[in-house]
Amino acid sequence: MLGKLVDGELQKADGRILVYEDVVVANPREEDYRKAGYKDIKDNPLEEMDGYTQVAEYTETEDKIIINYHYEEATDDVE
Amino acid sequence: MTVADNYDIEKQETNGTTKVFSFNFYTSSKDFVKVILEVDGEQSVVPSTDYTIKLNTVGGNVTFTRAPASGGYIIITRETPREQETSFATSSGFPAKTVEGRFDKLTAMIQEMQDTDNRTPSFPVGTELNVTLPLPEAGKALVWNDDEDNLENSETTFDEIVSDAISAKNDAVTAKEAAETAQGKAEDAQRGAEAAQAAAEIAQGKAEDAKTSAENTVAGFDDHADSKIGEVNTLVGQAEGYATVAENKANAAAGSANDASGYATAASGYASAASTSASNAAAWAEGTDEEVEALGGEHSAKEWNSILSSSIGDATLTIQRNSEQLATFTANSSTDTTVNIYVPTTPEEINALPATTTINDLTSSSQQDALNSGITSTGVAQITTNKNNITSISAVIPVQATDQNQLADKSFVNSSIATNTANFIGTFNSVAELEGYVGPVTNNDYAFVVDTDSAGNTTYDRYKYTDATTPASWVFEYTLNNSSFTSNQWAAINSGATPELIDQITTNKNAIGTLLNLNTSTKTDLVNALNEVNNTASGKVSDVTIGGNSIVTNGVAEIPSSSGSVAGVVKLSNSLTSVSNSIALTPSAINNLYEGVITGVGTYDRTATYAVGDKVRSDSGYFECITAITTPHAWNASEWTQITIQGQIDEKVDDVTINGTSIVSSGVAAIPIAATSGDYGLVKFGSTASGLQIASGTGNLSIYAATSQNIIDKTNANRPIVSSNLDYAVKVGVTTNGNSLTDTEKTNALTWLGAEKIVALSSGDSLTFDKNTTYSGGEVTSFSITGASSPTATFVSEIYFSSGVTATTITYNSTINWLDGSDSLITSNGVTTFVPAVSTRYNLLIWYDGSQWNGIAKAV
Repeated sequence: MLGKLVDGELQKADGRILVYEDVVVANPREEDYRKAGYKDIKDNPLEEMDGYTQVAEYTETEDKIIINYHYEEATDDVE
Repeated sequence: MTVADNYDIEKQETNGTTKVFSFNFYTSSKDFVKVILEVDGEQSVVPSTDYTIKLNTVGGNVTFTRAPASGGYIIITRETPREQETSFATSSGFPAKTVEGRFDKLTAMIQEMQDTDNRTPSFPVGTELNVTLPLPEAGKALVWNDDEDNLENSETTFDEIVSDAISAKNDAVTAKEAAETAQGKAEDAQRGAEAAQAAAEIAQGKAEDAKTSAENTVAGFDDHADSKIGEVNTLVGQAEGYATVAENKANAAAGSANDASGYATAASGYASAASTSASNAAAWAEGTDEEVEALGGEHSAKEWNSILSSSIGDATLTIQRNSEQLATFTANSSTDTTVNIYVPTTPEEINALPATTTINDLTSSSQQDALNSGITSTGVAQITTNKNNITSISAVIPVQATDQNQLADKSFVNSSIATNTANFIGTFNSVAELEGYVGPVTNNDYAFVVDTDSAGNTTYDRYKYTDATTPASWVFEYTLNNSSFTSNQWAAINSGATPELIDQITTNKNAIGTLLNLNTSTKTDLVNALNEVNNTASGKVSDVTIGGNSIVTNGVAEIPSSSGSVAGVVKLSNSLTSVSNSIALTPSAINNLYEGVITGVGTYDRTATYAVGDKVRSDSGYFECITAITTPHAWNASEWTQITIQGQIDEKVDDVTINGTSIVSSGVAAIPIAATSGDYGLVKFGSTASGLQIASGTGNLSIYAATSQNIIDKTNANRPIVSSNLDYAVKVGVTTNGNSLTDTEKTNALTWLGAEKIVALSSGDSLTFDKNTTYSGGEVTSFSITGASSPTATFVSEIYFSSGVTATTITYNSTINWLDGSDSLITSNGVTTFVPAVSTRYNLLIWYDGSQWNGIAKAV
């Protein structure tokens, strides 16, 4: 899976349209995504732990985007 | 000579190089020498052509023409013919030499027989046998008969003997096992007998104890006699019981002993037979030939194995897994070998495989494709949803185009694209005119009808000729706004130019290419080519001048009337064409001259109109109109001025010159004929019109242009191309024989003409829209579109392509405004884009309207 960090959010390469700069790519291929700056995603999920949620942190290197997580205590949804 | 007893047959090994082999025995002729080649035990007589023989006094040499191959033997022997060819007649002399020779020959024969005898089996000296071999029988062995005095064939074949030996061996093993079983049963019987004896002894002891106890009891305890008797009886009973048991056991033991004896006897017999069989089997298995022969055979199995072992291989089976050797098994192994090739059957076992194992090692290629595609169940569901959406979109596309919706007639577009049979018929001013068209027309042909919309703009209604109706008719399809195309484009559309016509133009152009040396393709070059045609025309007149000034205007060379400083011609009266100095200028003559000069001047006509300068004649003289008379009326002198003779004479020429040089001689102005020397003069015209002509009736000089046939036939080269036949000449110039246009020339010509071109579209192409072009391709996986940097407002291009099972990837500028009504549009984040669907053919129309790029996508 490829992805790109845009304003701190991870956009994954899974759509039928790729728009970057002033170019539209319909039915983009992997090479199109890479040309648009998308990189390989390396996901390092933690084991599930009751009472905690995993919060992702993104680190971008020259050739990949690394997703690391840390635990945060789960909070009940406000009714 | 004498013959020594040295007849030793020579047998020498060959080495591939030795050609000369010697022998040391006597022979009277080299013809008696016999040479044999032995290879692998097989002997063959060597043809005498393969060697030569040189005899010495005793012995000689055999020299081969080619050294025999190594690994064999050359055997040199002697074969003296057993014949006596010499006839001895009674003679006074003794033919010693001849007789000696005959004895030598006989001696040689005897030696050869001795050699044969040495190689023949024989019995020891003193043996009184008269042995005759029996007739051969397949598979049987020679054995001595029961009387041991002659040979005979064995009763059974050798194979049967071997089989019998194996059976005997098996019988011996069975007998041995039976003997062992019998021995066991005998031992069991012995143990039973011993048990019976012990039981009997116990019973006897009990009985004796009972007797003693009874006697003791009777003697010692009278008071309790009865009870004791009872006890004694009980004991006796018990003793009797024990005795009975002992007897039974003894009987059983006896029976068992008898059985054991029988078994033992049988076992003894079996053992004896087994011993014999085992002995025979041992002999058959690995005994000496003498031992086997004693049993009627030839060799033991071991010996046969030794004899036959050379033909039995001893290969080794190597068992591998992925080239890794797991085990080996040799054919003559005495023990079994088991190899377990591990095959994982559960996910846990698969996970336990070495780290180098990949999913590709465990799956088929089709399974790998499915895994690599990344299609999840969610993706499949999405595909299904998209398919349904496409079906829904397709369902709402109208079959027939309307004014409000110009989506194409799908069946028509499909048929047109598929068959490419639609022809442009033309542009008509009305539907009635179109329907009145009587030329050839076929299904799907199309035409335009000029119309005007509500805003007063000229529009073009497209009609399709269809045979779907009865009768076939023209059916309205859609309307094109006049502003959609440039005038050149409309001209191209209205011209009906088709690729076939363009090809024909190219062919025709090529046909005349050589003649006109058309080797370029620009408009300027084409004009130059036409000028070249003019300049090379033999005898043509490119211009007409008088005094260096051209008198050609709009292609007409008009010689002016002589006036003032203007050189020209004068028109004289016929009556004055012959003037003689002898004619005196009398008043009458002057009057005649006067009238002649003003020939054609009539009297005043009150019913006519006159312009200023017009002249009339009256009884009082000649008058020139000074006030235009536009309404006929009676003579009014104020409107006229009288012309005096002197004035007329003054107006006449004093001299006639051409370019300042008088041509008057002796009162005669002789206008010379123009000559090539450079002199001025008049030109005349031949009877056949060439480049110039005098118009009939007017006398006007004009160009006699080349006729259409002249242009086609390339004849009358002095007739020029003028404005009226320029187009025709150009058309002929590019439609008759000549060189073929290069692709670049075609492209440039089409561009110059403003005609549309069609370019093949392939996967990976990068299209730059810099001119009006139609790109057409089959299934393409990807392409990109880039607009020209400075597009014109009249730019328009079309793209035809098919999106395959994997949807086509298209890269284009985000500024393209995809119009509503297009197919396969997706709006995301406020941006509407065209995204091709799978397995769909599209027609894209992209144009620039002066401010932005626009696009329409149609699934066809």
